[in-house]
Amino acid sequence: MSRFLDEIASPGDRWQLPSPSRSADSLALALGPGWDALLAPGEEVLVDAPDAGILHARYLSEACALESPGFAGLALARPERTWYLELVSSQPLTFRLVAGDDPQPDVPTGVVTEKGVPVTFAAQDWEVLKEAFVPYQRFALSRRAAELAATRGFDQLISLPLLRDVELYEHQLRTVKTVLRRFRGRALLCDEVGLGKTVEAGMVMLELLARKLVRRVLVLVPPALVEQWQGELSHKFGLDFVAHDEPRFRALEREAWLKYDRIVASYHTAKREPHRSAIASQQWDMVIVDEAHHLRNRNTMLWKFASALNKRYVLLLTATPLQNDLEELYNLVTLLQPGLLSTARQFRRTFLRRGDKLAPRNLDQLQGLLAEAMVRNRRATVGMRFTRRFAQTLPVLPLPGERKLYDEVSSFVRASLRSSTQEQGQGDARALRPRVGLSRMALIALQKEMGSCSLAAAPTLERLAEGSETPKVALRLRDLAAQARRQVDSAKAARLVQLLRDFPDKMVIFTQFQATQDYLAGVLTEVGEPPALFNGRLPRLAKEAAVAAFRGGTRLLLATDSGSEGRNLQFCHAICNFDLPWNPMRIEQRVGRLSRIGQSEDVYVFNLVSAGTLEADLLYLLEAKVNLFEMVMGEMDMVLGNLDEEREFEDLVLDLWAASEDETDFHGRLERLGDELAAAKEAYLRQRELDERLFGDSLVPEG
Amino acid sequence: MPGSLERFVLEYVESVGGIWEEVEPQVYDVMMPESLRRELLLGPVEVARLAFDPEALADHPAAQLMTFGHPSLDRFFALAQAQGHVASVYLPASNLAPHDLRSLVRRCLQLAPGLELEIGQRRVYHFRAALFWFEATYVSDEKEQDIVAIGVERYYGRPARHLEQALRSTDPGSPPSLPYPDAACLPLAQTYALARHELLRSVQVTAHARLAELQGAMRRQMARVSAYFSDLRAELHERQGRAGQDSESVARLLEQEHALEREEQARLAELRQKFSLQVELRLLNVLHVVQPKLKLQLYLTRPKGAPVTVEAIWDPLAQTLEAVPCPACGRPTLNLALNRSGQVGCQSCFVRAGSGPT
Repeated sequence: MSRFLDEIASPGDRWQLPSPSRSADSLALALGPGWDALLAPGEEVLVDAPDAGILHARYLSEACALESPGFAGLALARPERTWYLELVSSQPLTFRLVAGDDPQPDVPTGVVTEKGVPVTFAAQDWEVLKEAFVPYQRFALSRRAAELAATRGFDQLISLPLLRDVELYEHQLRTVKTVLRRFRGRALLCDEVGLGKTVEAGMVMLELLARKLVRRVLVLVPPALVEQWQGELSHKFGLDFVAHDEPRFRALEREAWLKYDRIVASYHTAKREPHRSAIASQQWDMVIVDEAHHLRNRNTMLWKFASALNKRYVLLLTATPLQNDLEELYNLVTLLQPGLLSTARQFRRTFLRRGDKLAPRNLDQLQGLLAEAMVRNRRATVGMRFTRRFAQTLPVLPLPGERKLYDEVSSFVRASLRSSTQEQGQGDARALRPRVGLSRMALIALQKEMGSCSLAAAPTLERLAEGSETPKVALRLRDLAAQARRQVDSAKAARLVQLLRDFPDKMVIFTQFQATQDYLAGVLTEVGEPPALFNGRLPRLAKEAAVAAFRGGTRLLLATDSGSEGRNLQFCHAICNFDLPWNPMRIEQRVGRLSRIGQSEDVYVFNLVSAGTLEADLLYLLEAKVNLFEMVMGEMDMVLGNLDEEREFEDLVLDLWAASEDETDFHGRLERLGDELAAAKEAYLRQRELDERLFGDSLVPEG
Repeated sequence: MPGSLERFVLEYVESVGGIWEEVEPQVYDVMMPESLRRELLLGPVEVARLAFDPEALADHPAAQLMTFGHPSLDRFFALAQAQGHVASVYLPASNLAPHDLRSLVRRCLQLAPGLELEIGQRRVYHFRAALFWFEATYVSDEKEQDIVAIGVERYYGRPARHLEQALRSTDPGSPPSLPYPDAACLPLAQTYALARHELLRSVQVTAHARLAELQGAMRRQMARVSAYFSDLRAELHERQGRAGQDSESVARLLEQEHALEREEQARLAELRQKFSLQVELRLLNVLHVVQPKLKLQLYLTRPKGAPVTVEAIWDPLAQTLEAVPCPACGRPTLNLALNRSGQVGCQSCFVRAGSGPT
C-alpha cells in the first residue's frame, strides 16, 4: 500500500464511486481516476460488501478498478443509489461498500410566479441527471451545440460573427435591435440614402434565420437590383438566394416558387401571372421589399400584390416613403400593421389638411404612431463623415478605323430596330420589335460593345452573322466582324494608359465585357501594369485572390460588373469607367463599390467616352442634368423613380436613339429626356425636404 | 482560420470517429460512419462535401451548405447535443499547503475583539459541486431562449457563482493526481432542487420584465384595435343612415356590423393570446466539478476560556476561506464571535439576541 493513503485518508473517509460502478455481469468495481498513486497493481484489499460479506479483491491498475469474483452477485447499477467506498482500516487494508439513497426529487413540475407567469419544468430532467458520464470533450461539444442551437433573445445579436466584409455602424445596430425587439420584425426602414438599409435588412433577416424563426424568405426588388441583392446576401451574409431569372429557377416555372426557400425577384415580374398567384398561395416567413416607394399607392397592382402575401415578418425599404400625399404613408404602414393608422378615412380626417395633402395636422400624434413601425436614420445624426466625389470625363477621339466601324455598326443596329415589324404605343417609337433572326437583346448588346471597344463586338457580330437568315445581312455582319477583329488598337485604351501615368494611385477599372477585359489586360500588362482580374466566371477562391492582390501590391483591379456586388473595395479611392452602362443605377453601383458609408477618402471617378457615341451623349445628359457623380449612392434610383416611365432607363434611351432620324434628332430627344430627369431630381429634392420637415429626428431608433 | 461554426462541425466529425480534409477555405470533405451520414442527411456517398460559404456552391455544386436555417446544420446540433449531457471534471490540486495559512485565514475572518485564532487539523478532501445548464424558453407569440448556468456547491448547499470562471482557467480534461477522499456531499436530488430554486429566482426576473413589455404592447394594441373598429362602425353607421329605408341595404349593413363585432372580438382574443407569456425550463447539461480543498479545524480562543472549535473550508484556487454557517442562525458568515456562554456564532446573532459577543 502506498504511504499516500495513510497521509490523505483516515478510517471513515469515503470515496464516491463512478456511476454506474459496474454492469451486472462484471467482476470489476470501478474506482475513478488517481488510485494508481495509492494502490500498487495487483495489490490485495478486503471489501465488506452488503449481503456478500468480506470479499478479497485486487487492484487492476489498467482499469482503475477492484476485481473480485464476489462482485458478480452485487447489484450496484441502480439510478436511485450512489455508492461509496469507505475506508475501514489500513492494516489490513479494508474497505466497506456503502449505499447512499438519492431518490428522484419530489419537486413540482410547474409553478406560477407572483405575477402570474406559468413556469413548467421538463419531466425528463431526472433522466438527464442520472445519465452516465461522458468524456469531457464530448460534453463540451454538447454544450456548444446547445449554445449555438438556442433561440436567443434579441438583446444579443448572434449573427454578428457570421458577417463578412461588413463594418456595422452604431445606427445600423440600433435599427436592427429596434426592428427585432420593438417592431417584432415588421418595419418600414426609411434611412436617408447611403446609410446602409440593405445591411440593416440583411441583419434582421440573418438574426431571424439564425434563430430558426424564419425559413422561407422572398426579397422583392427593382429588376436592376436583383443581381446586386443576390451578391450582397451571399457575400456579406453567407446566404444562398436564387434569382428568379436564373435558368434553374425558370426551368421549374411556377413550381420554383415552392421549391426554393430563399428567392430574390423583380417585383415587376412577381406581380404578374403566372408568378403572382404562385407566390400569393405560399406562406412566406419573411418578405423584404426594396425601393418600397413603389408601394405608395394602394390602388396599384403592386400594392395589392404585396398586401395579399402571406407573410409573418416584413421589411419595406425606401428613402422616400412619401411624395405627393400623406396618405402614401398610410398605404405603406397599413402593409405592416393594419389599423395602426386607423381607417383611411379617419387618417385623412385626423392628419390631413384640406387643400394640402402634404401638410400634416396633429404632427406629434402622427409621429408617435409612425414611431411604432418606422425607422429613419439621417446622415446628419449618424455621426459619420461622408467623403466627396470628383468626376472627370475624358473624351477620346476614336481612331479612323474605330470611327468608321462604330458608324457602320450603329447604322446597322438602328436600321434593324427601326425596320422591324411594327411599332407599339403612341407618339415616340416604343418597344420596337426587331427583325426576325436578330433579337433586340443581341442588338442592344452589340451597340453597347461598340461603345466599349471594337474587339468586344467581334464575337457578337460573328454570332449574329451565323444566325442570320438573310445572306446579304450575314455577309454584311461578317464584314463588320472582320473589321472589328482587325481593329487591334483602341484610342480609349491609349487614353487609359495615359491616365494611369497621370494618376499614380490604386484604381478599379470597370468594363461591362469580358472581351474588353481580356483586351485591356493584355494592353496593361504590355505597359508594365499587370492588373488583378475580377469577373463573374472566376472561381470563388480566384475572386478572393484577386481582391487580396489588389489590396496588396497590385495597383490595378480590372473588373466586370458581374461578381463584384458586395465586395468591399473601400481601401481604393479611384475608379475608371472604361465603358458606361446605359442604366445610371449601374454606374452608381460601380462608384458605390468605393464611395459608400465608411469610405475615409474622397473618391475620383474617371469616365472614358469616345466622342460621337451614344455613351458620350448619355454621359453628358447624366452629368449636366442630374450631376450623377455628385449624388449619394442610392439617390439615382430615387430620381429614376420619379420619372413617369414604366420602361427600364436603358430601354428608354435605346428607343429614343433607334427612333431618331439622325444625331441631331437624337440630341433633341435626349435633351427632352434630360429635362425630365432634371425635373425628377428636383422632385426628389423636394421630397427630401418634405421628409425632413415631417419626420425630423422623431424616428431615429434608440435600439 | 475556421469560424466558430466550422470549428464546431469539424470537431463533431472527429468526435464520432470521422475524418475531414480541407479542400479549400470553408470547403471540406468529411467521412463519417454510415449511420450518422444518414442521420445528418448527407446522402449515401462515403465522402460528403460541406461548404460554409454559399459562394463556394458554384464551384462545388454537390456540396452541402452549412449555414443557419439549413436542416443539415440543425441535425448536427441535435446529434452533438445527444452525445452526452453529463460529465465530471477535477480542478487542479494546487496550493494545498499554503505558507502561513493561519495568517491567510485570519485575514478572511472578522473576529470579535479579544478572540484569537489557531488552526488545528487540516485535511484535503475532494469537494463536489455541480454546474447545471438550464434552457429557459420564453414563449409568447415568439420564442426566445436563454441558457442559464447555475452552480451549487454540495457541501453547504450554496450557490457557487465562480464555477464557470474557475473552469475557464483550468484544463478540465486532466485527471486528479491523488484520489482524495470525498467530503460530505448533498444528494444529487437535493442539489438539483437547490439549483431549480436559484434558477426560478433568476428566470422570474427576466420573465416579469418581458411580461411588462408584452402587457404594455398588448394594452396599446388592444386600444388601437378597439379604436379602429369603433371608427369602422362609425363609418358603417353613416352608410346606414344614407341607406335610408332600403331594406336590402339595411340588412346588408347590419350583417356587416355583426361581422365587425365578431372580427373585433377575434382580434382582441388573438392579441391576448399573442401577448401571453409562459416559461419552459429544461435541464440541458450537468457538469460535476470536483475540487480539492482544505477542511480546517479552527480554534477560537479568548484569554480566559476553553477554545471553541469551528470547522471551515479553505479554497486554494480562490485563495479564500469559505463562509461558515453560523451555528445559531445557519447563515453563512465570516464574522464570528463567542457569547458569554462560550457559544460561537455570527456577531449579528448575538446583537439580535442581546446576549452580545464578548
